[in-house]
Formats: sequence, C-alpha cells, structure tokens
Amino acid sequence: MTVPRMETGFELPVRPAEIPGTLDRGDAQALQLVDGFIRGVSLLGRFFRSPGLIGLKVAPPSSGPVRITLTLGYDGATVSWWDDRVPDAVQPRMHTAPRLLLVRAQGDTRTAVVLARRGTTAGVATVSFEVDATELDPDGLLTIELADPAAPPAWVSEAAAPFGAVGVRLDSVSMSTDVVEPAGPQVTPAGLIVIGPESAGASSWQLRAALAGDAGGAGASAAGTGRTPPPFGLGSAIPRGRPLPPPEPRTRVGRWMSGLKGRLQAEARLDGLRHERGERPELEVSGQMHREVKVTPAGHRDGRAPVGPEAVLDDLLRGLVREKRLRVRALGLLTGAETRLPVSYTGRVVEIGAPGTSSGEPLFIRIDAVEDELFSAPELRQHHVEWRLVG
Amino acid sequence: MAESKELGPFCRAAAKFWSGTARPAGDDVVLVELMSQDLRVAIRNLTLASALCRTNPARMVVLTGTSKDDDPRTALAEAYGAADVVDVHGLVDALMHDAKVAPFVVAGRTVDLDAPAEPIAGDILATFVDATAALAHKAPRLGAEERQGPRYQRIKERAQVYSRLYDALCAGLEPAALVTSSVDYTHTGLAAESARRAGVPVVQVLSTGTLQARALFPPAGDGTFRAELTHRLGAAFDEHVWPHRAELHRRADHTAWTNALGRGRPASWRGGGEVSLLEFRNPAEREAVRRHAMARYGFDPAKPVVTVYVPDLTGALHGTVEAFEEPATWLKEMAELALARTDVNWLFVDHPEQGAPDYFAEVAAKHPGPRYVRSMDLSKNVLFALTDLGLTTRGAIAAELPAYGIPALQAGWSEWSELGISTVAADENGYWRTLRDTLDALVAGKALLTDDQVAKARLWMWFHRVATDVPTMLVQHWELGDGDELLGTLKTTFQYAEPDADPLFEAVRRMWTRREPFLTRYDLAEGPEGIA
Repeated sequence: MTVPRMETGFELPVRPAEIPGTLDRGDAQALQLVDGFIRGVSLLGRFFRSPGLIGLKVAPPSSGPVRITLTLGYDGATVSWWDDRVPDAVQPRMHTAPRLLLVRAQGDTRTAVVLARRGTTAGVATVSFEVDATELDPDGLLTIELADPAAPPAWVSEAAAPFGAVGVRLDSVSMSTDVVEPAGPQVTPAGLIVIGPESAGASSWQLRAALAGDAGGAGASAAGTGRTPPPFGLGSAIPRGRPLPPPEPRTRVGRWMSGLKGRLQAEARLDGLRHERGERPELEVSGQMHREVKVTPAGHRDGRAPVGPEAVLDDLLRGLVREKRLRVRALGLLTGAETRLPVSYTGRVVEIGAPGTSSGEPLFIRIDAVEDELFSAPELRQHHVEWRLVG
Repeated sequence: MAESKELGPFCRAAAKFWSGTARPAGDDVVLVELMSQDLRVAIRNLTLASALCRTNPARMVVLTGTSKDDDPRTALAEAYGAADVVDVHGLVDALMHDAKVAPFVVAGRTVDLDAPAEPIAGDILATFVDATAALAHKAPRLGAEERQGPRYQRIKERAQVYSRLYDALCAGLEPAALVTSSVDYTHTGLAAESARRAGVPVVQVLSTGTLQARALFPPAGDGTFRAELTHRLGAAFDEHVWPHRAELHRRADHTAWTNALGRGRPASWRGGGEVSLLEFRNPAEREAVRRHAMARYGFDPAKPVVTVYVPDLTGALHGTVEAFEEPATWLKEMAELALARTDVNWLFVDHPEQGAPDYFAEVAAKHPGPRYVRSMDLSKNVLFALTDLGLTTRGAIAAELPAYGIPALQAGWSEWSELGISTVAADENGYWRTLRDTLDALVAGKALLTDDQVAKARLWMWFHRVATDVPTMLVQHWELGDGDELLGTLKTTFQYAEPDADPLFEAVRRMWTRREPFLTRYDLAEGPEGIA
C-alpha cells in the first residue's frame, strides 16, 4: 500500500475556514489545494481546465448539515479562456455557449448549475448544496469540483459547451450552518434550466417567456441600447457558438425575395389583419422594426389596433404548445435518463410537468422549439425572447 | 536569437573582464563546444572553461557551427578570449565534399585530418547516428525504409566525418579538457566520444540551475558518458552524502518542501506554475483529491493506480543503459501488459515535450482500456494523488515520486539510479520479472518503499539541486532566459565585480584537482558542517 510521505517539517500551519464564513480571495490560506484552477486576487479564482477542483481546509462544526454556496461568473475572460485553452480539435468552437456543470463535493455529485451570459453582460449564478458535518474531516479537505456531465446526449451537447468549467469564475464560497432556503432553480435566457435536488420534488415548474425589451423585464437596460447581439436564440436551428450564417442572400433581389413572406406576415400582423396580405407591402420592415413602429399612428389602419410583439409572442407560444412543437426535454444528471416533459400554456405561462420518476437527482432541462419561429419572427428579432421561472 | 541591443556592450564588458587578471594564459588547450544557439548554453560553457583555464592555465579553442562574424557565438568566443575558433560545420561540409583537406593550424598547433587515428567503433557510431536520426525524423524507432533513405544516409556520412574531425582535433591539439553542453547526438556527442577515447577529460555543463557540471576523467570505462557517470555519482553519493544523512536531513526536507511548492528548479518533466504545485500534506488530504481523480478517469477505487510515465520517445536514445533498445518498445509492451493486468488501474502520462506525440496517440488508439493523458492536462496534485506506483525508463520522476513516499520502478539507468531510490531493471527479462513482483506486492497491499529510500530521494533532490549547483555571478540562473535581461545583468557583473574568489573558481579547482564527477558548492571532503 502506498502511503504518501508529504511531511517535511517546513509546512506553515493553515488556518481553516470558519463556518459560517465566506472565502472570496485566492490568497486565503484555507484555499489549500487547486487543480485546473488559478487563484485570484479579488475573487477566489478562475478555472482553466475542466474538470477543475479546489480543496478547502475547513473547521467542521460538531454536527448537522453545512450549506455551501458558490457564486460563479461567466464573463469575457470566460469566453477567451475557453477559446485559448480548449484544444483546437474540439469542434465546433462553443466558447460563447452556455456552460452546464456538475457540482461535486467530497467525491459525489451534489447538484448542477447552468451558466450563460446575454450579449456581453456578465452572467452570475449561485449554486448551493449541503454536506454533512460528518463528511468533513479536519485532517482532510472539503473538495469542490466543477465537472462536465458524462456523455451527454446531442441535444445537451449542442446547447452547452464541452470543457464547461474552462474560464468560469469562482467569486466566492460561502459556508453556513443556518437552515437556508435554497435558491430555486435558475434559468438562462435561452431556456436552459437546472433543477437542483432540493426542487426536484416539485410536480411542475412555471415559466414565462418575455421579450428582453420589456420595460418590466430584467433585460430592459440591454434593450435600451437597442444593439444587443442575438442571444442563443430559443429554438434556433443554429448551433450555439458557431458564427451565424449570412443572414440574407447576397443579391439585392434575392434579399428582397427571401424576406418577402416574413415581411408580409409581419405587416399583416402589425396591421391587425392577422392574415397574409396578398399584395406587395407598402411598408418595408425587413426585420428592422423599432418599437416606435407599433405606436406610430401611421401604423393604425382603418381604426384597427396594431399587434405588439408581446401579443405576437403569446400567439406563437400558444401555437407552438398546441402543435406540440415546443419541446421540453430533461436529462437526469446522475442517471443520464432522458425524458420529454409535458407542456401546457395558459395565461402566458408555460407549465412544465416534472418527470414522474424523480429520484431527487439534479435535472437539466432544455426548452426549444422544433422550428425556429421564436428566432425568426421579425418582431422578435429586435427584442429576443427570454425565459423566466415564475413558480 | 533575435537582434540584441545588449550583446555588443556585454561583449565589450566581458572582454575587459577576462583580459585582465582573471585568467592566466598557458600552453595547454581547452576545447569548448559552442554549437547551441542558446546564449545561456554558450555563456555557461565559456565561463566554465575560463574557470578551468585559471586552475590549469590554457588557451580556449572554441568549436562552433558557424563561420559568420556576426553570429553571437563568434562574438562571445572573442569576448571570452578564445585563442581560436573552429567552424565545425564548415570543415565537415568541406570534408564531405572532398575527402582530402590540407592540415590546418589551430591555436598554433597543426591538425592533420589524415593522420591515422583509431576510428570509432562502428556499433558505437551507429548508436549516435540512430539517436540523431530519430530526432530528425521525429520517429521513435527507425524502420528499414528510413535507414535506406537519403536523410539517414546523410546523417550517417556526416557522423563519420564529425568523428574523424574530432579525433584529429584531439590528436593534434592534445587538449587538457573538452567542455561541452551535450554528450548526445552526432555533432556534439561524437566530440565527447573522441575525447573519451583519447583520454581527454570531458566536462558537461548542464542546462539548468545556476551552474552545474558533470565531469568524466580518464580512465573512462566502456560505457557511455551517462552510464559511466551513473557509477561515479553513485560512489560519490555513498561516500560523501549518505554518511552525513543525519546532518543533512533538514536540508533535504527543505528541498523537498520547496519542490512541492513549485519553487526552485522545476522538475524536468514539467514547467512551473499552478500545474506544478504539490499541495496535499497528509494521507487524508491526498485521499480527498484522489476520490475525485479516480472518478474522472473511471478507475476502480478498490485497485491501486499504476502510472506509466512515457519519456520523450525521440530524445537522446541509446545514451545510457536501458532495458529496452527503444523506449517506444517499452511503451507498446506496457500498453499490452496494461490490457492483461486488470488488477490495477493504469494511467499513461505522456512527456510534456514529446518528440513523437503521434506514436503515443497510436499506442493509445490500439490499446483502449488504460487511460492515456497528456502531461499538462493533469495537475501535479492530481497526478501524485493518483499514483501508487510510477513506472518509467529513465525519467526524473523515478527520483521525485519516492521523495513523497511513492515507489518507482525504472527500465534503465539514470544519473541517480545507483542510489537505491527506485527499483532499477537494466535488462528486459529482469524488468518483466521485477515488474510482475512489484505489481503483485502492490495489489497485496505491501509497502514498496523504505524510509531509507524516502530519505535518499530527498537527499538526492537536495544534492543535485543545491550541493552540485554553484552560485556564481559569472552566469545567471537558467530561468532568467537568454535575452537582454541576462546580458544586461552579466554586463553589470563584468563592469563592477572583481573575479577574486568567485565561488565558481574554487569549485572548478576542487573538481579538477580531485577529479570529482561534479562541481560542488562546498567541499564534500570537509563534510556539511555549517553549510546551512
């Protein structure tokens, strides 16, 4: 049996992290060991390999559960570190894609987290889990590892980048013995959700799709610039992380022709006609619609009110759910079990039924449309659709 | 090296420094090899030769690979006061073109290329040719096709001429010593080989640390430079270091500690930085990391992990005694064994600067089952947390693992392999037998490493990083690089420092007069009293 002989007599004592307490600097003594992780200065550090691991020296409480909360970040460096460090052989280059990460501690998967950013706005996510005091050995380490799910199905690997931890920021690790209400599931704008084991018992989840340009929405500021690049479009057939294909044909005539049908439909909706117009439109819209357009008096025709993007979205979602083209798929992150979840749509809320056989394992859920209506509808191009969990 | 602003001022300062009292002139000749493009190597060789000339008054004759006046090495040779410069590549080109070259004069002595000298034995020449060809072809082993190819033939023909030229230089100049940075490959290794046969002491300056050198004084045995040095290092360690283990124990532990922190000279098989830290301190902490690491590779936690450290498959082949003719054979057979012995987990780790990465990938593809990883994809924390037994041919890892309680078995010799740190098998049958017994013992849960082996491993780490590393202002630490920072620093030394009693001069004098196999920081004969 191999017994390591590390002691040299020169080791400095390590001050273990107190519980409760927060570690948020890379030079903390309690951050004793790293693997695939670079210690930071004003943050705990950043992962440069996936999987990556940190080992914390902690003073365990006498008994009871310890709730550990990680604050993770996805910023510009997350993108560039992935592009620089993930081998070129990994194709497609998904450096800007969301990251799906298993959160492991003391050798076991505890929960998972999905990280994304919208445009260039840094994304921040918190994820928490419990370890029992008996799992913490004062001679050993509290290990926290971020890892990729093993052999994910294609619908997962096309939505979330491999080598997911590369570039991910670990802002802090908080430890507490208080009974903390765990944060509910988090959802990325593009409709990726991780349901932690705490919430896995729910019978259903309710989501609302909103336009990023909504005044009441979190994305209001982004929409205020009017220039946010497209996010990972809900239901887009374009795999995430790849450059977008040329949006339109090259020739002027081709461009005009290719946009014709969509424009006709859009203008019909704007005009409140709700059916296609047979003749050539008088107003060229071609995807550059601004919010002003819908409130412009000129938009009123024959006294009929124009249809706002919200209503278009509502209409689209209702149609997608009715035609069973809104797919909601779930992956059990321990068992690898895949399920398609039932969806219903009432009062602008999408309700997702939980898989009946929930074993308390963390679940990854992806919502997408069979076709890419939500991406291509002209009214929505400007605004982008985002999902928010409402219950 | 790129255009340097500091080279000119540095050379002027060096010329003034060395032309003063620093070095008496004598009639002897010291040959200094200056074939490397790396200025750190050139400066080290010239500095060591200059120190040698202080002890043994002589003129320096520089062997270089260029005749260009604007080559930095030519400028350096001049600045350090070389009496003459021999353009080896130029002479070899001429000899390849025309077998008859008139005798020429070097440093006042006549070198006759046609004077009969006993030529190098064909099989020894062939090992140099094969090692050079493997490097040139980036091939771990050469097939019949490659051996027939024009490239191989050219290397072979050139090798014969190199050997003839070096023989003639040794016969004509009767040098007091050869100072070289490399004892491998045709263009440098054959010089060391000629010197060995001519009874000329060979000093190899190492490309690491501050200033480290190994020396082989005649009579040299029949083995290669490295193999012969293994004996001498082993004997010197037993005589001067091991008896003082009680006094040196704290110093050795300190080196083991700085090494774990990634400080000091980085382990030869990886660089510095976060990937080179060894941060767990006790079995419980190692176990915490190991649980995650085992899961990553899908290892069975009930079985031990055997790590196969793959050497650079094209690097310095045939340089010493090895159980397998080529490390590539060893790798392939280890991969086959790994498929058969499923009572342990197998991890194959490639060399960080593998010359034949395709071969590693090919072996991995043909023998699925064991885990194959690139060195830099693993942190040292994970690597040492996983490894229960390390296997290598001659890698430095076989001396490093035991310093932290992990046993190692090697299929061949290394500098330290007579010290008893690792288990060493020098022939194929012995290797398989030892490996089988070792694996059986590992699976049975037996301890494979003694306390003495751990102590020896740490003492060796201290000895080769500290005791045989001479701090001198006349060169700078290897890690400073070979740019203007180095030249600027040395220029300051030459402008403002006096050479009197530089530690290097005393170290070289000791090595030279006592014919010791290495430079030392302190007088080993006096013992380590008061060195720390």
